[in-house]
Amino acid sequence: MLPLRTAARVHGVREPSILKVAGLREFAAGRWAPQRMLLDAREASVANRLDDLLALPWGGVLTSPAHVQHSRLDSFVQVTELDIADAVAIGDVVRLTPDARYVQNLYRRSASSNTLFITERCNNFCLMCSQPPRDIDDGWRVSELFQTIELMDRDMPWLGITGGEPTLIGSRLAELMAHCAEHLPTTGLHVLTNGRRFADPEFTEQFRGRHPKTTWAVPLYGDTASLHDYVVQAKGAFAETVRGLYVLDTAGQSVEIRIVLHKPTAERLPAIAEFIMRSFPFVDHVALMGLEPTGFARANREALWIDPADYMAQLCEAVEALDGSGLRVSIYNLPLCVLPTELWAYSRQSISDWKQQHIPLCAPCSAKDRCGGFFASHTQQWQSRDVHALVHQEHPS
Amino acid sequence: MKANVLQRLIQVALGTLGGTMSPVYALPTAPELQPTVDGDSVGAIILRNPLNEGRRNMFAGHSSHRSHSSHRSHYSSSGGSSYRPVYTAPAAPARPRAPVQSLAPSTYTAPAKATTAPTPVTPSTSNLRPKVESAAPSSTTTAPRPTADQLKMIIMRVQAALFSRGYDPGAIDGVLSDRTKAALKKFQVTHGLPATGTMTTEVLTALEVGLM
Repeated sequence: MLPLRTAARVHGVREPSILKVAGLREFAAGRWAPQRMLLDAREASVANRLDDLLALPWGGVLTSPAHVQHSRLDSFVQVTELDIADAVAIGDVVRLTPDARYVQNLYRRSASSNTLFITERCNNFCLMCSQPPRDIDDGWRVSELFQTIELMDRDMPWLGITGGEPTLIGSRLAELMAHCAEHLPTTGLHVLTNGRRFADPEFTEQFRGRHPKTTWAVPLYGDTASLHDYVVQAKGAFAETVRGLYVLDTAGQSVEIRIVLHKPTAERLPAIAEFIMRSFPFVDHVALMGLEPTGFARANREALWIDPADYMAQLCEAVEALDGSGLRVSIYNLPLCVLPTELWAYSRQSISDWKQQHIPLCAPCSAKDRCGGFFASHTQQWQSRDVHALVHQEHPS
Repeated sequence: MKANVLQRLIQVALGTLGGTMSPVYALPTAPELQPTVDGDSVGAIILRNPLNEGRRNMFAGHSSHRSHSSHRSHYSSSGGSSYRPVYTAPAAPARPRAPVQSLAPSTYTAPAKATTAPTPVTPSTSNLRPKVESAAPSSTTTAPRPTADQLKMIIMRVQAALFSRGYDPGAIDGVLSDRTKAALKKFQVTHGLPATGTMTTEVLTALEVGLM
């Protein structure tokens, strides 16, 4: 599990810079000028021709201590002595900051999925929030994202957008998405939003046609306002989210509904499923998600924790109902061993590799390659009693 | 449905919800499991055009490194820290620009016909494509000619692409030397392309060198 940041020695950075980590192929492609690239001189083919390449105005040069000191290097921004060498790789996008002793990774070519982090602000305050909001002015993030988008690889099938609450940046969100449409023309966008701002049709209308392939993923935590508003700790949220779902559909947008499975929602899951089927038949997908035990969830364990073994009946019923009504259903963040085999077809390997781990108990399990594993934040306290290694049994043929 | 629910609740209460607790199981056959990434769209098809489809190639006719007399090099070998492209996000919903492709960070020479003196162009205001002394793109009489800088840059990129694929172009110096031409020809032969030793659109595409 590679971290998003690694300690390093960084010289000569005058202002924050967003750079593409480049080898010869990134240079050859010609999408970006040398000024926007961090030349990775650790790479043998680059090191071999470094003298020639240093004729160009690189945004920076990444060297390893083993390099023979090159006199021309002194005039460049230099990054060296990475604590974790693999944390920065060719194709990644990094941020260099003046006086910082680290390199921040903003996009990782090798990651199974990448996400744009829009803001820490949020207008909900969910009991189980894995990214607790902060009411600060972080508009600088959005400005940075315009650059980051330009430096990403074009072959990503999907790019996530999350926060906090992305719609809080207002019209800049639609602009950002249009920027994605321009620079990443075949990449779909998957935006996590509580949907509340979409209750305003005028706000929603600005997104029409801005991006050809976007799905809005909206959490719904109850079939009643009292339940949903309790989970998100915001009065009036349910009304706005429900209205937002309809307005999104009217604006021709593709919508997914997500439900995090914990004590308040799990017990009522069949009713919530029925509510979704009857009220929002237009949704493209319903995602039922195991709880991530980080952020606010840790403080609210008492209110939230339920062993998945104790809600499997409700989960089976909800999945059966939703699937039967023609909605596409997925189960995220639950290991295969706690799911009955009839639910396996709905289970996805959904935990991003940078926050995923397997626990020692899983060592002998034969389903490891198909299982999503656990969150890095997982502890024994949050482990179902049903977690166990699965042993493959031969079919008599 | 209600009877079912009741049945399941009783089963759970009695701990007899069978089939979920056995430690030994039969792996479902592959089609039942869909190890897709979060957000995957079922049936999504991504169509890709060839890299340089529909792009103009000003470099295909270039075959010698002596065809340009003004060979002014604008490379700032004083390094990247003296020059930083500053990107400011659009204040109004303006259309964000394409990435910088200019070779000349501090000065820019306008085409020969310009009546004003060359003016330094800062990256936040430049139209980020180096201008070319050219006829309109639709003209069939005069092919547009690249500037010395544009030519040098694309040759460097071709040289880098060749070297990264195990073909030795000699120095990566932006000069279409005999060694570079030989490496280019060798690459063309290996890839079933006409061995011209020139930068045809086909060989640029095969080398993943993009035309702007």
